[in-house]
Amino acid sequence: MRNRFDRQLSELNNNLTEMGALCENAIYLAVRAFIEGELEFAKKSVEVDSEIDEKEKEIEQQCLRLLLQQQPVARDLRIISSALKMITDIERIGDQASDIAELAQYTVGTYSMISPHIKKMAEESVKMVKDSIDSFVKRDQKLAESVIAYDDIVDSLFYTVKCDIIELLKSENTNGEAIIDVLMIAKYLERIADHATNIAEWVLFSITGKHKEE
Amino acid sequence: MTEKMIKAITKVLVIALLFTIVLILGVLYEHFTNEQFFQLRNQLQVIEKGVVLDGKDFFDGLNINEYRITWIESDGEVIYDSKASSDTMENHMEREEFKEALESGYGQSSRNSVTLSEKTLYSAKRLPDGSVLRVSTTQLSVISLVMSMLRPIFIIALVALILSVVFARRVSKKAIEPINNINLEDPLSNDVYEELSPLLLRIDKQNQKIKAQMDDLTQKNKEITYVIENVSDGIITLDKNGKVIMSNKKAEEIFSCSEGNYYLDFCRNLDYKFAVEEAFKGNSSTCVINIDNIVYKIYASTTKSENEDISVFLFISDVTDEESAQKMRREFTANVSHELKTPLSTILGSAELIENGIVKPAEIPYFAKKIHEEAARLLNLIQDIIKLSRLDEGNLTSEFVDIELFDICKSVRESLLEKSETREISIDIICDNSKIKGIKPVINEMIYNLCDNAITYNKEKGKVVIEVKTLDDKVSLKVSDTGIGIEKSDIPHIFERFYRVDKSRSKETGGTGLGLSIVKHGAELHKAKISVESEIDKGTTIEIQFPKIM
Repeated sequence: MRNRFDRQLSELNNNLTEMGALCENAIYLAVRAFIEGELEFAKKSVEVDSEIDEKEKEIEQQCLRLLLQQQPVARDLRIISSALKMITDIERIGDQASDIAELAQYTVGTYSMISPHIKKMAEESVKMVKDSIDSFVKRDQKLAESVIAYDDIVDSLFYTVKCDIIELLKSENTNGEAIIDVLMIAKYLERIADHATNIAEWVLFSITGKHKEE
Repeated sequence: MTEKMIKAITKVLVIALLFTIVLILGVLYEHFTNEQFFQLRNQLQVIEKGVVLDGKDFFDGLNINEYRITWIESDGEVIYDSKASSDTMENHMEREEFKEALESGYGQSSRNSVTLSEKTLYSAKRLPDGSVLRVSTTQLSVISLVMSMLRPIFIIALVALILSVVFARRVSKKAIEPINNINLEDPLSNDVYEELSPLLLRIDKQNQKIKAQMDDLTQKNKEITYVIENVSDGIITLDKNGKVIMSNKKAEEIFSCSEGNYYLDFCRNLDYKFAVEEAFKGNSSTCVINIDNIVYKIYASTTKSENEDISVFLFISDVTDEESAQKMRREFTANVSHELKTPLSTILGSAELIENGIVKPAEIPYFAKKIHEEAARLLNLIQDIIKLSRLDEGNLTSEFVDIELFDICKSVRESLLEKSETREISIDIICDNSKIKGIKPVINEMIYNLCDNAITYNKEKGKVVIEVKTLDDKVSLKVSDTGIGIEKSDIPHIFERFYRVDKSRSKETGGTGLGLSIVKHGAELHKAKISVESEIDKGTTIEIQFPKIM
């Protein structure tokens, strides 16, 4: 009985890793589409997002089945409930990645004139997502903690980008649409970083049993 | 085993018992019957005396119970019988013993009773008066004797059975115990009863065979493990659930993966994921991934073997060099076509203008000069490409000979004299009598190209120094200038084909962009090392270190 349960848990873990890998690639492709203006990447990113949605449904069903059939307690319950929470965050990252990918078509070549800092912000967000998935795969408590701490850096970068845009708005020669697009992308990136933080928090919860309350 | 033994022992016992009974009964019964007859005869003699003396009166008062006495007339009429009244008895004329006694004086016979349970023995004698005196006794018949012995026989059989069970148990235990306690590792050292020796010998032989096979397998296993572990490519095998079964050293180095990892645990690249998924579907596939700027090509394939545990096989090889070589080749082809195209378009354009009569006769020399210059440039370029491709292939016809570097430096200075004088640049040679082994035209070309560059990228009234020195185990050739210098970021690229530090001035300064590339290939051919030191606005020093002649 326990053997079967262990196997199901390991399947859940593998599925989560797979979904994490998809999400990581979705945001990576979206950011590359945005920075390099390569629209092929944008298309791919949107495709990956639909795969993420499917995976979310699959994992959700798997978790519910486990909860009903096995009635897990203690650590097992923690793993399953944190998995349920994590897929929501991963799925949101996928959605926002595909949003960025769509906006990327309209901002080709203009973003660096609007805000030179957004590139760094995008790269840092990608790194945060990568690290949060990494911390899950490796059950790395330290890495998860560093991801949570890293959120402040992305937040401050968002503030810098906002300042850049305000400066630009003050001058007369402005391209309103592109500015709004870049601002939205910045906001998406900031949200993605928040979701990455959430994932890291759930990873910590599944390891230690304590969830950080704000 | 014990059961069989019990059966065997019991069988033997039963048979022995039966034989014994039959034998004893047969022999003893015969013996006792004879004895009985003997006694009857004695008795008969005693009674005979009495009867002869006393007649019938002898029987009065005679009290014998063991025997039956009968006195019979010669015509068979019974005169007296001790057990029954003589009147009721039938005529004994036909009795066997009677007939015999009448004839020979003595007769005897035996008869079974109707129920067969008793046997009567008769002994008869003829008296002198012709009558016959008969004495008889009864004894148990064989059958009733056997019947009476049945109980003891049964008891003996039972005891025998019990004993056979006990003995069989004990014997089989004794036989089995040493077999169970055999030391299988070293069978010949066992101290057992001798019937087991052939078994032990066979075990020993088998042991040796197994050991030889095991050694063989271990050796093969070791070899395979050694090959897999030390091969320069990464090898990973996955089970049907996507978990790592085995990974070699290189794979662990690349991915830091270990046994039991899920295949996405150590690499989450999308192309990799798709390639592995394809392999799980049964289609072999490849992908190229980049990890920390090292390019790996991964072959993922299904193992269609009977071993169901392994289902996907990953083969990871480092293709960074191949990738960059391919990139360089692509760039080179693009560059060559571009470089060839530029002078040709100028030639074509000028010639077309002249052909169509657009150019005034007075201007023709100008266009002719242009065509001449561009054609010369084209020729130079093609010559350089030919030189390079020759160096690339490495099959130069010239032999390696001893070369005095000073001679070559002098001739290079001669040939560059005109160019240097127009820019008022001095060329100094500091040279000892160093010699190297090399191909003269290639060395000449190398030094020429270095000096040519040193003049081209120098300042007016600058200086070029060629310095040749013999060091401990090598010969150093340095060409230094006081020119414009090279940016640090450009230094790694200056030996690439068609690479220009200042792309906008390439036409102005002339040259093909292949000079340093030729130097590099020449150096490789001579197993020499090149090093570059440069400072912006101060100058550049390029040093080539040739191996010393031994």
